[in-house]
Parts: sequence; structure tokens; C-alpha cells
Amino acid sequence: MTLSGKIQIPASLCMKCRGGKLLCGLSYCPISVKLMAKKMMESHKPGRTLEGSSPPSVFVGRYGYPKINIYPSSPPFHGDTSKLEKTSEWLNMGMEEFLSMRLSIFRGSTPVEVTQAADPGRLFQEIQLMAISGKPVEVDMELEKPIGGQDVILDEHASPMGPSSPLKRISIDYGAPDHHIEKAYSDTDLKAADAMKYLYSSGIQVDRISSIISIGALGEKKRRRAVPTRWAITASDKSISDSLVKEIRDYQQISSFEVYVRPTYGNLFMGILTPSNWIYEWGESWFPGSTWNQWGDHAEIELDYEGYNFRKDYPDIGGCYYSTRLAVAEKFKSMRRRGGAITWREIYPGFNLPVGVWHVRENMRALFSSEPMRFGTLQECVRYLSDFTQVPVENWVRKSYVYPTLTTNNLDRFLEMKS
Amino acid sequence: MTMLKMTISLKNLKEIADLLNTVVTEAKFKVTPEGLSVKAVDPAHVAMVSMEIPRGAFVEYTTDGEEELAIDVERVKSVIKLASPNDLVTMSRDGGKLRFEISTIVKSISLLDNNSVTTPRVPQINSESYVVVSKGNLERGLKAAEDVSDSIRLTLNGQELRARSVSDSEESEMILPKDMLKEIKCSQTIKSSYPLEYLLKLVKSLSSAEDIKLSFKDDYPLTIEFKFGQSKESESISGNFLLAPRMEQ
Repeated sequence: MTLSGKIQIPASLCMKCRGGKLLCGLSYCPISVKLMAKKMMESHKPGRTLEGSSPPSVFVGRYGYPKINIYPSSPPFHGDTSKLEKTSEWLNMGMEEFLSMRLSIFRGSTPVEVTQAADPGRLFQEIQLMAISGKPVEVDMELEKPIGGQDVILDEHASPMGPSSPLKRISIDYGAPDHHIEKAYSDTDLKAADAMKYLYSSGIQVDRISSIISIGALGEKKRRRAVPTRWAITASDKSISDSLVKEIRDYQQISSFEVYVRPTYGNLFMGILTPSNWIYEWGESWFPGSTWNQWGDHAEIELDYEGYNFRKDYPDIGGCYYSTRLAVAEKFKSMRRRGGAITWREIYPGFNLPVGVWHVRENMRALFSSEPMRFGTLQECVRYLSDFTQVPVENWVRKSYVYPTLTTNNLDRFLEMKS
Repeated sequence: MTMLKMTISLKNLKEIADLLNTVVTEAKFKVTPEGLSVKAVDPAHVAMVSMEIPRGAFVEYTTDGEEELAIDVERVKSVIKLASPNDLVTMSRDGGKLRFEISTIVKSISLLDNNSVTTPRVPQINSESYVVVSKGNLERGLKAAEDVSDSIRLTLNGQELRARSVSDSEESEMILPKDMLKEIKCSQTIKSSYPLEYLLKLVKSLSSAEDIKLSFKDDYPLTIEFKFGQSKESESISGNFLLAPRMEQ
């Protein structure tokens, strides 16, 4: 197996480093990943067949849309593989373990038209049933090409995945779906947005919901569509956070500013909850490459925001906008309070592997489950954050939408002013 | 509970609802024998609207006391969609409901809990300088800036009004010289920036206005006065928008 060909590291560097110091500037050691992945797949003999327990896992590609490929997937081993698809468990893994785990998921592909989800043929339907299964599913695939050797998928939205080959035949020993998923799947009058809301409120994890929406197993019968995995993840983050925010907007306001900080490897996550109506922003500051001498100099900030009535268009900043918004909405919901939120992230040199928006969602959830610092003004919050940021905090403030809206750009400050 | 019955032209009711809806989805009216008044601020406290609807603006207006009426503005908009342009709309209070009679249709919507809708305090805003421009010109200038930036900078001197937006890579500017302005009162150069999306929404909602009066000073709220309905003072609906300035960064 090879990692994507973009990564070229001089051998002399690896010999000096031996995976210990990450001299290459990456946030993981490609050699260790390869070795770990190899170990995980020891039992798999390269060839045209694949047997294993799928978590379940089905990837939906986006190339050629609306004629796309769907990929029933499985690691080449048996057992309780459910954590291979459970994003909430990935956060505490080392990057090498995470990557090798994900890269061990082999994929068989079959072409479909997205609209066929409404009236699937036998194979497509079996793959749908596999995707909604409540437990790992035993699969046995026959493939057209021997598997191994192909490039793996690294995509900024979807989680990394292992190699693939066109599917010749598959037998799936799927189990019964979770009761709520079964109900949403068989209710062909239930709108997709309502189905997602229902599943979420029934305690189904959002990554499960996005994989079920992606295989076209939810929504009104005639409108069911297969949705590329990366779009489905953002669609479910957006749809579920929309309904949560609508709910929390009417709760009582939080009483002070709350500041949350989470430094993690290669990243700094920050959140300020504001005692205000709903208003939200997500900002990212990517440091330039892995060139150490530019540290702290030209980090550009990208930021998108919304007011009380949400956005009308898709934020340029991408899917993390909505995965963070979900974490924020969940936090307010758990407090039964309303407020606004400033959320910022700094990404440092070396953290240059797209691992998927789950990484942001889970880190933001972890961020908001930590104990906050409380302040009376936004100025104090920002001063506190300045101890943590590598980007000068004034740059964050200059780019912010929520900060000026809640401090200078409103009518409140003219209330006491004599004209 | 007091008795309340009022009849108004569809056109005026629609404009009232549209004006309010640029700022809020729910609003609380104060009802007195002299008429209705309403104040509302948007959730971010960036824009505010105040409006007076005197009894003379109604075809019929009967009340025997004072009360407050909290209304879901979007529901009202959807109810009056049923009407034809020349219809009259009669609204009466029916317990916790507001009852609409429009031509052959009778429809009731729930009133909101008065405590759930707050009436904002209104800052004392007073700008000496102002300019009156045609709505068409102003809208064109704002639309030109829409895809450039989310704020627009107004500059007024005795000779012209400029409205300019800049981003890192683009800019847009409208220049209206004195002879294209309906009125101007300004003795020195004043500048202030405003959020474009709000400003455009407010201007668009003034559907019956031909001219727009903008009053402001340096880094200070923008006041847009409006008046519609009958021309007679006691029969016209009047009020203003306030829009918070964007501080230059």
C-alpha cells in the first residue's frame, strides 16, 4: 500500500528521525502508519477476495455525480469493528493508529445513479441495508482487481479510507438495524430533514446519520438520493444544528461570557459563548506549510459568520463551519440556555493531513465539555485568549464579525449617549 | 379585556408588516384610542424600527381602552397573501386571537404572550446633516456594492453623496452630485459606515417611497425616516429606522 504520492521525504531525514521527532514536519510518521496498517491486515492475503466484519461502512464517492460509485467497505478481519466508524472514539487515538485503522478499510465499488436510491436494485438495496445495520456486518466480496497497492483516499471532509477495487460479487450477512433507524428507513413519507432530526433526538450519533443519509436510506420515497459522503456529512451537521439552534434561540440567555480553550497536537481550538441572541462565527488560521522559519508570521485568517436568521449561502470556509456549529448548539442545548458563539481554530505547521471534519466536530465537543473561564466583557475574554494564540489576538479581533457586532457595531452603546 | 376592531387597506398593512419584518419576526404594538405604535430591534441590536399608525390611517378604528398586542409578523404576512391588491382587511381581537376578515375569508391567528416579546429602549439619535435621494439611485448604489463587501461607507459634504465599498481586490462606488440629490443639508464632510445587507433590506422594504432621507454624522447611527399612506398628517403612517454604524477597523 502507498500513501498519496504527494508526500516525498528524503530518506536521510527518516533515518535521523526514526519516527520519533517528526522531522518531516508532518503530524504523523508515514512509515509508522504503513507498518501499523500492515500489522492490522496481517491476516489478509492480497488477492481478489475480501472477508471481514464491516463496522458497517459504506463510502459514497462524488466523482461523476450524478453517476457515482458506492463502496461497501470492510477491514480484512473479523470481530467488533464498530470503532472504525465511530468518530467519537478517534479523538484519543494517536494519529498513526487512527490512520492505520482507517487505511485498513478496503472498499469494493459499484456504479449507481444517485436517483436509484429511491427504487434500488437488489445489490443497491442490500448495500443500503448493510449501511443501516445496528451491528458490524459480515461481508464477503469478490473483486475485479487484487486489492492493495492503490492510493488511499485523503479528503479534507471525509475520513481517510483504504484502497478500492470494482466489485464483482458481494454477500452481506446484515443484522437488524437499530429500532429508530428501521423506523426512519421504512417511513417513506418522512422528509429527510425530519428523519435526521428524529434520529438525532433518539440518540443516534451524527456520523451514523450522515452515513445513512448518504446511502439514500432516508426521506420521502421518491426523493431519496445517494449523497456523496463528504456532502452528506455537512448536510447532516447543518440540518441537525439548524433545528437545535431554532430550539435554543428561545431559551433564557447565559449570564456571562464563557471562554473555552483546547490546545491539542498541531491545533488550538477556542470558543467564546456570549450572553446575546444567536450569532455565530467560525474562523480558521492556517500557518504557512511546515517551514519553521515562517512560524507565526503570515498565518492568514479565514472566517465565516451568521446572524440570528442563519446564512443564505454555503460558507466559503467549508464543512467545519457546520460541524462546529453543531458542537456549539449541543452545548447550549445541554445548558438549556441561549447565547452566541465565537469559535476560532489555529492550525500549526506540520498538521497538514486532511483527516476529515469529524476531527473538528469532536475537538469542539471536547472543548465545550471542559470547564470555562467566565468574564463580564468580551474584551476580557480576548485578553485571556491572547495567552494561548500564536496569531496575535488583535488579528483575530480585526477579522471577527461577532466581536464588533457585540461591542461597537450595535445601537446599545448609543442608549446612554446624549445627542 | 378591551374591544378592538380596525380596518385598513391591504397595501398599508402589507407595508407595515414588511417594514417590521426587515428587523423582527415578532412585534408588540401599543394600542391606544389615538392609534397603534410599535418599536422593535433586531436580535443583534443593529437595526431598530419605530412606527406610529394614527387612527386616521384606518378606515375604521374602534377601541375602548389601552392594551398591548404581541403579534407574529410572519403569520400576518402569510394571512394577507390571501388578499387582492384593493381589498380592505378588518382585524379584531377575539380573546387570545387576532381575527382577520378579508373579502370572503375569515381567518384567526394566535396572539403571542405579551411577556415573550420585549419593547426595546430607543436611543436618542439626532443628526443635523441629511440628504434626500431617489430610492432607485440609492438601491442601485447599494446593489453595486453587494458583492464587494458587507459594509458600505457613506460620505456626505455640501456637494455630493458618495457610497463606497472596498475589499482586498475590488471596490464599488456610487457618486451622486448635488444636482442629482433632492435635498441636502450638510455644512462639513461627514463619514460613517453601515452594514450593507441591513441597509439594502431596509431600503427595499420602503415599497411606496420614492425618495429616502438619510440622516447621519461621523460614526453615528443612520436614521431613515419614512411616511406613507395618506398625505394628511393625521392619516399618514410614519416612523424611522435606526441603523448602527460599523466602526472602521
